[in-house]
Amino acid sequence: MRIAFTGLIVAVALLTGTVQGAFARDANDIVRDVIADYIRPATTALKARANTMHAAANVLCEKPNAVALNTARDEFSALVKDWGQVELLRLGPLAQDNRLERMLFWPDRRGRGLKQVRFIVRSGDETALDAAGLSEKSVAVQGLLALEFILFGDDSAALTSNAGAVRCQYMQAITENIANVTGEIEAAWYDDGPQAISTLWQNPSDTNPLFRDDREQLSALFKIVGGGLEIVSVQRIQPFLDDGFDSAKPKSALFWRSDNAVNIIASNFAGLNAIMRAADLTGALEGDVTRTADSVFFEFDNAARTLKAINKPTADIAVNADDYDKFSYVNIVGRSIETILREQLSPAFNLSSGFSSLDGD
Amino acid sequence: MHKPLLIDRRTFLASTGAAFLSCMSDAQARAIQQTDAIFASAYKAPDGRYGIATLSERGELLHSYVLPERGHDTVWRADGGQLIAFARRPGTFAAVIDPSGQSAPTMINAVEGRHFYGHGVYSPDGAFVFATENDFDNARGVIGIYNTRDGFKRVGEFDAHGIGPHDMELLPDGRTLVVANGGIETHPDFPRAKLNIASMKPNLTFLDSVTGKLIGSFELPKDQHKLSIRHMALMGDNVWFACQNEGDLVATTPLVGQVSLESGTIDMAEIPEDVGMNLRGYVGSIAANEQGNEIAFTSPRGGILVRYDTRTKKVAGIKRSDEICGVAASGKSFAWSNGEGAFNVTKHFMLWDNHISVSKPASAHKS
Repeated sequence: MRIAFTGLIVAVALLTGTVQGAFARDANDIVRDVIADYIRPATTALKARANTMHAAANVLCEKPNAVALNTARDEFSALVKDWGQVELLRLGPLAQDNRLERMLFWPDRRGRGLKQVRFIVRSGDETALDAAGLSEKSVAVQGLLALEFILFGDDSAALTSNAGAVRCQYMQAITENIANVTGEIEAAWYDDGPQAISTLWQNPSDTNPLFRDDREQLSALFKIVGGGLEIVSVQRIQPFLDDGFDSAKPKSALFWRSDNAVNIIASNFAGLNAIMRAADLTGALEGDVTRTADSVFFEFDNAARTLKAINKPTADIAVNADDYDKFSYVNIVGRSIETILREQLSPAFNLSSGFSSLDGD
Repeated sequence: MHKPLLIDRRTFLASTGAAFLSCMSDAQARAIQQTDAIFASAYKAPDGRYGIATLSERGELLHSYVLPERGHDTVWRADGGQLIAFARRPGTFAAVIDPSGQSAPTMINAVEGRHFYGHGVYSPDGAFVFATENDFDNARGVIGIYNTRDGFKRVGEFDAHGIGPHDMELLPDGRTLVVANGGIETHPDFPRAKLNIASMKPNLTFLDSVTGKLIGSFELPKDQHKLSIRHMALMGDNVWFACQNEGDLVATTPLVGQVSLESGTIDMAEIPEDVGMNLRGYVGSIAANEQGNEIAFTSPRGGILVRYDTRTKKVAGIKRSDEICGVAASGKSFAWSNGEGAFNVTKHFMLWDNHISVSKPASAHKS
C-alpha cells in the first residue's frame, strides 16, 4: 500500500530496517479479492435467481394453481436473500440508471408506489404489462416491492385462477424487468473496459474519476460496509423497533408482507461479513489492530446467530418481547461493528474520518 | 457561503467578549484583541459532544458552546451581537448564541411536523429569522419565520416551492430570499434515506420575505435533475450555487453555477475536467469574496478547495486537504476548515462541520 500505510511502514522500518515486503496485502489486493471473490459471484447469483423467479412466474401464469403460487413465493424469498447480498454495493451499476430504485423503491412512506401498483392491477394498464413498457414507468411499480404485493398482498390468491390473469401478466413484466436489471448489474461488474467500475476501482490514478489513490480505494470499501451497516440499522431495524416494545411497528419493516423482514436483514449482515472476509484486512495490518480486524467477525457471528433465533412471523415482535429484544441486540451489534470500522480500522489505514463528507449536507 | 457582515469595531469587539477580557486566558484575550473577523462553525469534540465555536482569523478558539446534537450552519445577526446555530437535518433545534460568551445558548424547537435543514438567515433589522424546514408528512419544503423580539416565537411559514430546501440567502435588497431546494425528499422515520432520487427536481427559488410571494424559480436542465442544489454564495445580486450529484459519478458533471433574477438563466461554471473530477460529485460548501472577485468551493470527498475567478472564469487556485469543507471569505482570500480538526493554520481537536460563517468590522472589510 503505497501511501496509506506510510506511518506503519516507517514504524516497521525503524524496527526491522526494511520497508519492502512489510505487508502481505495492499489496497489493490484487497479490492481485487473483494470484486473477484465476493461482488462478481454475488451479482451472478442474483441474476440467476432473478431468472428462476421469472421462470416460476411464467409457470404460474401458464397454469395458475396453489402449488405454483407457493413455488413463486418461495422463489421470491430466495430472490430477496440474494438481493440482500448485492443491494448495499452502492457504487457503480446500482448508482447508475436508477437501478437501485428500479429494484427496490423503499421506504414508500406515503404508499405512493403501492397506490400505483394497485391501480395497474385494477385497471389492467396495458403499458405496464410487458417489461419494455414497465421499465419506462415509475420506479415504484417496477421492482421487488411491487412483486411482493402481487405475490403476497391483498387478493394475491387470485393468482391461483384465471381471475388473476392481469395480476399475473403484470407479475411477469416485473420479474422480466428484474431479470434485465440484475443482468445489467452483473454485466457491469464483470466489465473490464477502461471506464468500468471494476477497472476504475483497481486502477487508481490522477485521471481516474472515482479513485485517486489507495486511500480512496479503501475508503470506498469502508463506505460499503460502514454505510451498509448504517442503512440496516437506521433505515431497516430502528423504524420498526421505534421507541420501545410498546410502540413497535412491524409494518415499518422492509418485506413484512412476505415475512422476509428477518431474511433481508440477515442477508445484509451475511453479505457485509463476506465482503470483510474477502477483503482479509489482517494481511494488510500489523500489531494489535489485526485482532481488531478479526473482532468484527465475532460480532458478525453474534448478529447472524441472534437473527436465526428470531421467530417468524416478524409481526410478532409487537407481541413477543424476546424477539423484540433480539432485534434490539442485533441493532447494537451492527452499530458496534460500524464503530470499530470508523474509529479503529479506518485510522489504521490512515483514512479520513468522513465527518464532513457524510451524505448530503 | 456567507457574505461578511459589516459592523463597527466597537460592536465587533463587544461581540467577541472583549469587554470581559479579565475572565479569559492570555491567549484567548490576545486572539480577541488582534482579530479582524470572527468565524463560527459547528464541531464535534473528542468526547463525542457537539457544539459551536467562535474563532479568530487565524483559527484560534475564542468561545465554544455545547449543543444537544450535531449542528450545521450558523448565521450572524447584522450587528454581530447574536448568532444562531441550526441543527443538522433532521434536527429539531436551533440554538441562539451570545457570541461574547457571557450567557448560555437558548433553544428554539421546531414545531410539530417540521424539522430544520441546517440553514437560515436574519432579516436585515434582526427582527426575524427565516429557517429552511421540512414539512415531512407532506413532502414539502417550507421557510419557518421566527420573531426574535418575542422569544423566537414561530409566527408563520412560507412555501419554499420545492422539496428539500437547504441553504438560503437574503439578496442585497434586504427583502428577497433565495432558497436552494435540493429536491430530495426525506422523512425522519427513515433518517437520511432518500425517497425520490429517480424523480427529484431541484430548483433555485426567489421569494419575497415580507409576503412570501414567489418571485421566480429556476430549474436545471432535465438531464441534470439529479444535481441536488444545496449551497449558495452571493456576489452582489448574483447567486453562485453548488450541487451534489445523486447520479452517475463516472461522467464528470459541472457542479457549480450562477443565476440572477436579472439574467433569468442558469449558467454553469466551466471547470476543467481534471479539477472537476476531483470534486467527486459533491460540493459541500461555497463562499464568495467580492474583494478578490473570487468564489471558492470545497469537496470534502475529494479533499479539495477550488478558487474560481469570476471575471476571467478560470480556476485561480487549488488547495488539497483531507475532509476540507468549511470555507468563508477572509481578507482577499478564504478561510477554510476540515473534518480532521484544521481551521486555517491552526489544528484543533475538534472535527469541524461543513460551514464557516463570518462577522467582521467595516474597518477590516476595507483593509
